[in-house]
Amino acid sequence: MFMQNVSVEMQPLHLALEALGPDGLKDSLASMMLIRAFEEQVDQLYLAGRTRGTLHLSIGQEATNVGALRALKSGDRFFSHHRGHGHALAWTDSPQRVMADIMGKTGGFCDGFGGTMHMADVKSGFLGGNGIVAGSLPMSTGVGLAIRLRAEDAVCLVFFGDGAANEGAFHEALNMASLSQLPVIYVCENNSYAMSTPVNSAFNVESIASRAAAYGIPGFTIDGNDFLDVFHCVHSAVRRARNGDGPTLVEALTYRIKGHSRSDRQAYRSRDEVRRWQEPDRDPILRFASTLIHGGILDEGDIAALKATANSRVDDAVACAEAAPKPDPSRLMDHVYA
Amino acid sequence: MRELSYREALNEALVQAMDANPDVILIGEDIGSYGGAFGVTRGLLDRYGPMRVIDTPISEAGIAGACVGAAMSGLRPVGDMQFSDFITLGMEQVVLQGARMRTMFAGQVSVPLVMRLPGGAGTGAGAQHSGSYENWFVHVPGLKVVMPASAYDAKGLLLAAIDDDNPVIFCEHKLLYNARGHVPEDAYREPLGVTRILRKGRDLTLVATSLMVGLALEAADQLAEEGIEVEVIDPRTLRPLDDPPIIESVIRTGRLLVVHEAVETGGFGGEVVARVVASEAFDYLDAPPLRLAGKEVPVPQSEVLEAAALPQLQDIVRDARKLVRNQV
Amino acid sequence: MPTPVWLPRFDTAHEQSRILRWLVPEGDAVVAGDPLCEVETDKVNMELEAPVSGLMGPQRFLEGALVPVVTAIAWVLSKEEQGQELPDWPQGGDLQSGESSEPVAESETDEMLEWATGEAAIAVPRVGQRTRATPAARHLARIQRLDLENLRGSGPRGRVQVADVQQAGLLAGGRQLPVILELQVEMSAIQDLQRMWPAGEFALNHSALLVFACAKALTRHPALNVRRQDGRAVRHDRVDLALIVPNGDRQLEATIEAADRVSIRTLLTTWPALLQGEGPWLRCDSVLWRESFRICDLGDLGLDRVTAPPGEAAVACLGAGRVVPRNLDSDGDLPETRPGMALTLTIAPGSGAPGEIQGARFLEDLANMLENPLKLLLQGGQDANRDRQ
Repeated sequence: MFMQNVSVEMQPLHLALEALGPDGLKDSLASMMLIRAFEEQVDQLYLAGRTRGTLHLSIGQEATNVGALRALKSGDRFFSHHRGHGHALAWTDSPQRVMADIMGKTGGFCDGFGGTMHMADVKSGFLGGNGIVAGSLPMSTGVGLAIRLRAEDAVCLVFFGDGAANEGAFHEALNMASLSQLPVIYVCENNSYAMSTPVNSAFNVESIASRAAAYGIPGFTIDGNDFLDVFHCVHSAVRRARNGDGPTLVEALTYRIKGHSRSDRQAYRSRDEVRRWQEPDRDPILRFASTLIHGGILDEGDIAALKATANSRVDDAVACAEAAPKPDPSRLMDHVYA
Repeated sequence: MRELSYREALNEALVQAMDANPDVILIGEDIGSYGGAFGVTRGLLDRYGPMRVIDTPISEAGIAGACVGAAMSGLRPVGDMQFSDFITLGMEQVVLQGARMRTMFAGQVSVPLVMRLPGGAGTGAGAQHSGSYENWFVHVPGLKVVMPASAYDAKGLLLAAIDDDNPVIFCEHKLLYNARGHVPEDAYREPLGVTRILRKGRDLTLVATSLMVGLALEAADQLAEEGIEVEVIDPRTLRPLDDPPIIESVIRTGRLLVVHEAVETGGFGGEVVARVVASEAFDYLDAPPLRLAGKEVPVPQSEVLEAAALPQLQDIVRDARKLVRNQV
Repeated sequence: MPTPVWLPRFDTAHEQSRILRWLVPEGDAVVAGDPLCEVETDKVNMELEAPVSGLMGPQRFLEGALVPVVTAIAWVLSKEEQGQELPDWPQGGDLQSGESSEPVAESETDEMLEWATGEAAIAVPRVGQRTRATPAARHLARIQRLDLENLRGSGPRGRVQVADVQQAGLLAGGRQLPVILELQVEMSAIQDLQRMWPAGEFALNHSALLVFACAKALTRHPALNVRRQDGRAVRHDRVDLALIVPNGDRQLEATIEAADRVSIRTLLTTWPALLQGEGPWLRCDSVLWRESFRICDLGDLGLDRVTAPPGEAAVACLGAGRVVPRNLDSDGDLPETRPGMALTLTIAPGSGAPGEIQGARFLEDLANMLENPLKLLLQGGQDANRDRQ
């Protein structure tokens, strides 16, 4: 496994506590639980025929989703990818709107035009999901150029998967951003599979992060299921970007618990392998909850309460989205041109 | 009356746009000290510096994506594809991202970029540096497609394209860069989506784009000596197409010929013909509408082969004559 | 040796001619000098004569074929040669080729011959096939009630062009251009509505409907709403309608001023007064009358059509005839008819009038409104509401 470059410093909890405070850490865990509860519910809705299209679930990747985004502040921007419910929830904390978009209803972000892969909340800095693997990477260069030209105190973070790191766009984007020392943080969610292709069948380098050397930028491989590790590493990368020290490539090792999309029969991996990643020493939520309990920040009762809150918020979101009106077909052409 | 070349007119448009608005930036390969493959951006790096004239590595997807991202962020980037052919490498960013984003996100974002595509054949550059791809983009809702045929329009349309809040594909023709014409000094705008009738005539409606506009006007001069009066129309913006002037013209003339350099199959001529035939003008057609376009072949290098592949002046004259004489 | 009949070059600019008609069937006896074939040249139709006496032999081209000049087009045979194998068609010489015109390219000549002979048998329209005609020619023929099947087309492969229809219109009616256009309007919908119309303050009068629809149609076809001035057409900025309405032994000649702004309800309620020459918007101004679009209500006179254009500054005159039983065209493609009640609309454009097709479109629009009277009334009602607001 790719653990050689791990750059975990000692006392990560202490550092995160300093940056986020106890409430921030608690909120982060709540956010991860919300993502888990939401995704499990969406999965069921899909199976029950209450949503359409496709679904790419974030289950198992909650620590990366939340950990990376907690390192940003207001005014910063980020791009998501096709597996983006977790990012949308972590950033907006609005399960109703995410659910409305998935269901093609009004009251979400994109009023039925976007859907699961194309949510965005542009004003808040969430520049959108993307149905094209590596599609966001070249665009992040442009956002970086705009930030630099206007001398804004902001950064642009872009999420992508291990599969995207083999697209030509990855190379072009990282090279260009490095040449201009743009404030861009590349967060590769290496969830072990590009659809059905395991990482070791698609790369002949020891880590994706090692490719950073080709562009003259720092690269780190971290434990993507450890909230504190993700937060810490991305936080440092953001600081470098803000200081004008250019881009960073962060490779967060994680695991996609569900199939690629709803049509995936998962013939390429064993049930045991998946179960192994759901055990308490690997599951990102159980690990973070345990850390917070051991750190004396939360107790078992708090955890149960957080979980109950997450479930009830998701139930509300479903009810709200199902009750929301469908988009008005007469508005079909409204947004084609400015 | 001051005359400039098409190249100088484009350069002046960029200067005036960049002087007036600090959000206008240029992104492309060799656009800095080299001045762009065809000299359009000459002098701009010195004038505006590397923060606004961004000379990139050879990374067309990177350029196109940087334009989209910058435009989403409120800048007005003008991308340079060096050769129109290279847009194939940046297609995903232009079509799947730039053009679709506004609708996908229900109007939350605009993408005010201009992508300059120096295109067209006639230079002997062969099959990979001679293409005319305008109709690929005409097929994409969310994009605008502009094709100036004169120095005057080059400047006025480029300034309007930069002002426009949508992604605009700006199709230039390499053989037009040296074409001279009257270009006023002020920063005038030629609005997008306005077709221009360049010459009035009662016998035939001749719609032409880009380099073919000049040939069409020459053909009209020749035909006038035979007593054939040709109405020459340049749509200038192919998407959105301002078709009423074309339809009204065909109502007057009863005959239509569309000329473009891109190949006929799936070309812009088909769109023009379809719109005319499906319009009120149908009842006024007194001959089948014709298209005259590039041959269905990758553009070859040798000058005789290249000429054979492209519509020539005498082809326009011949087809126009046949139409007017009821020989079609 | 059989004798060829040549299509000669009539003048230096003459490159090709169309075979219009064979005048003598194959096998008939001919005397030298007899006309054998009618051909068309740029200027005039010509007859080709029998070069010798004998029997009309095989004809090389079908009617409608376009043939390059200096081509043999038929044989004249002696009695003995009949039934014998014939030599190849002789090649024409090139000594006569015109100096001022471009020679016909060889490939082009071959192409012409190819489709004019072998392929032409398929390509040239025959009885029972649909006639080749341009959309504009079809449209004009439909309006003029000319049968395309009987027209000779001057376009490629006998295609009927607008010019052919115009020519045919002239021949058929002996009328002067511009052609008087005519259209039958089916009146059943108006009559149905009249039967259901409640007794009350006003009756549903079809002449009033016609006036209302005409004003509406003119706003949509401004090219007809013009007057002639110094040989030029000048557009009116509103719709005034000059009426000629027989009323007993008198005839009303007055103008409805700004007829496009008079509501249908007003027209219907005041129609009886209007026939007496009264109405707040009715003007008896001779200049206005002469310059306005004119409507002649001919039905009461037992007439159906206007036959002459207006002689004054008005640019067109619309005639509305009687409502009588007629055979109406079926809607389909086939030339079938069905009985019905119809009113004949004619439009006689004066000089300076727009083209036939614009006149025709106006007529069609007008007829369409009259055939859907309920829609017209409803729209008229909306107009009135808008006026009040």
